[in-house]
Amino acid sequence: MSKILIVEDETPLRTALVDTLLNEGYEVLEAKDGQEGLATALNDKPDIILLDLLMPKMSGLEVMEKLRADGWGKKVPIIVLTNRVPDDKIMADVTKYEPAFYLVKATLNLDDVVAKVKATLEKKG
Amino acid sequence: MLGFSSNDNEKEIEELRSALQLTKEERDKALVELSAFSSTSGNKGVGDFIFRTLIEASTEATLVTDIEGNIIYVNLAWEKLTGFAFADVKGKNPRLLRSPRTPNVVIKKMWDALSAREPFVTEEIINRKKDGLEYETHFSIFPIQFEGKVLYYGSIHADIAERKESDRVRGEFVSLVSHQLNTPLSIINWYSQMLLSSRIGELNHKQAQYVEEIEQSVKRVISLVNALLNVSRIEMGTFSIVPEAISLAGVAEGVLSELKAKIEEKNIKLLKQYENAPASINADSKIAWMIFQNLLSNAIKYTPEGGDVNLEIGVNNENVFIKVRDTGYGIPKIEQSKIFEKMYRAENVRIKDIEGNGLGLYIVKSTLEAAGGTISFKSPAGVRIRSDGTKEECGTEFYVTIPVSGMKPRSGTKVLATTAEI
Repeated sequence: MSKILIVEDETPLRTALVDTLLNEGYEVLEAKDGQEGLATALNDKPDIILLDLLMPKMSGLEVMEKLRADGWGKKVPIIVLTNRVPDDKIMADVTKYEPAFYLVKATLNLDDVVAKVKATLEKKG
Repeated sequence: MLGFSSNDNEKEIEELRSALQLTKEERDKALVELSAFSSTSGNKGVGDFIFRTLIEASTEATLVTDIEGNIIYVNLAWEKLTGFAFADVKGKNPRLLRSPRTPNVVIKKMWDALSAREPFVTEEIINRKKDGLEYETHFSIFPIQFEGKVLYYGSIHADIAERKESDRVRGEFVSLVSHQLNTPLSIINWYSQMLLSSRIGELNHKQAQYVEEIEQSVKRVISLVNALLNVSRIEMGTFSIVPEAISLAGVAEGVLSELKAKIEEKNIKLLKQYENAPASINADSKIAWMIFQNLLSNAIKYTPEGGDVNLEIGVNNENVFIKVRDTGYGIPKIEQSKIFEKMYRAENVRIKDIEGNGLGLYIVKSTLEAAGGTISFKSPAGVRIRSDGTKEECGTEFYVTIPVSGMKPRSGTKVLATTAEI
C-alpha cells in the first residue's frame, strides 16, 4: 500500500487529512512542521507528500528546495496544500520545484484531496 | 479604477466631452477677460499678474520647457517638492528627476503622445528628489501651442507615494485577513464533510440535515472571502489576465459538474448547445470559470423548480459568445441599470430569501471588460405557460462576448481567486 506523508502545522487540518487518507487504506505518516516533515521524508521515503507552505521552523518552499536537491527527493511527487491564494511571486517560487498540484484548502473538498492523491500515485505508476 | 471600454461607456464619455467643450468655451471667455483686465487706475498687465500669482501659489509642481526640453520655468511648489532650486535646473532637461525605476515604455508612450500633439497623463513615472528620495507621481504633460505651432511643453506633477502606500497596505491587509479566515473555514468545511461521509458512523436524518446546513453556510463564507479578495484586486488594478488556449465548453462542463446537485435538487431542465463552439480560444481560465460559475449558478438559483436553463456557446462574426437563458424570476425593469454594481441585489430575489453576496456580476463584468470582452442581458427573455394555461413573461438572458482573437493579456502581480483548481 502506498505511503503518504502529510506535513501540516494546523492540527485539526492535519488530523482531518490523516483520518481521511487512513480510511482510504493508505499508510499515513504525519509531521507538524517543515523541519520534521523533511526529516521524516528523507528517513521514511514516502510515495507522495502533501505539503503546506506557511509553517514554523521551515517553510514548505524550503522543504521542497531541500528535497529536490536530494537523490531520492528530487523525484517524489508533492502536492502543495495551502490557503495562500497565489500571486505571481508564489507561483514562480513554487513551480520551480514542480509540484504535482497546487491546491487551495478552503476551496477544496476532502474528496478532491483523495482524488488528487489517487491521480498522482497512478501517474507515478 | 480600471478603464473600461464598452459602447455604453463610449457614449457616456462622448456626452461628457461635449459638455466639457461647452464649459471650456465659457472658461476661455473668462480667461480672455481676466488677462485683458486693467486696474481702475488704468494699469495694463494686471491680468498677467493675476496668472503669475496663481501659478506661484499653486500647490501642484509645475514646470515649463522649451521645445528642446530645456527647463525655462518651475514654480514654488515644484522647488518645494523636488528640493531643487530653479537656479539648479534652469536650462537642464527634466529627466534629471527621473528614477531608473520608471519603465522605459512609459517614456516612449509619453513621446508618442507629445509628437502627436496630445497631452499625456500617467501614474507610472517615479521621480527622485535632490536628496535622492524616490516618490511615485501623478504626472501630466502637454504641448503649449500658439497659432498652430508647439512653442513649449508644460507639465504638472504631484507626489502620490502616500496614496500608493495606503493602497498597498489595504491590499496586503485584505490578503492577510482572507488567509487567516481560510484556515478556520477549511476546518469547519472538512469536519462537516467528515461527519457527512458516514465513515465514523451514520448520522440520523436530522443530524445530517444540520451538518449539511453548516457545510452550505461555510461554503458561502468561503466564496464571500474569495469574492472580497477579487474585488480588492480589481479595485487596485493588481490582477493579471493570462490567456491560454482553453476549451470554453470544457470549462462549462467543469462548472456544471459542481452545480449538478443543485440542478437535480430543483429539477431544472438543462439544454446545452456546444455545436458551434470553437475547439479552443485564448482565454484566462479563471475569468472563464467565473463567467460560467456566476451565470449558471445565478440562472439555477433564480429559476423556480422545474424551470429551464439554456447554455449556448458559439461564434458570431468577430466574437465568441456565451448565452445563458433561464425561465426565472427576471430582473425588474427599474433595477436593470444596477445589476452590475457592487453589493447590488434585486428586490424581488431579496424578498424570496435567495442567498447571494451581490459581488459576482460586478467581478465578472470588471474582469471580462479588462480582458476585452463584454457582458449584457435582457429581461424578460421568454414566456412561461402557467398551470392554468395563461402566459407570463419571465426569465433573463445573459450574453457574453470574447474576441475570437482571444482575451487581452494584462500584467499584474495577483491572480484571481476561484473555486477552480490552479
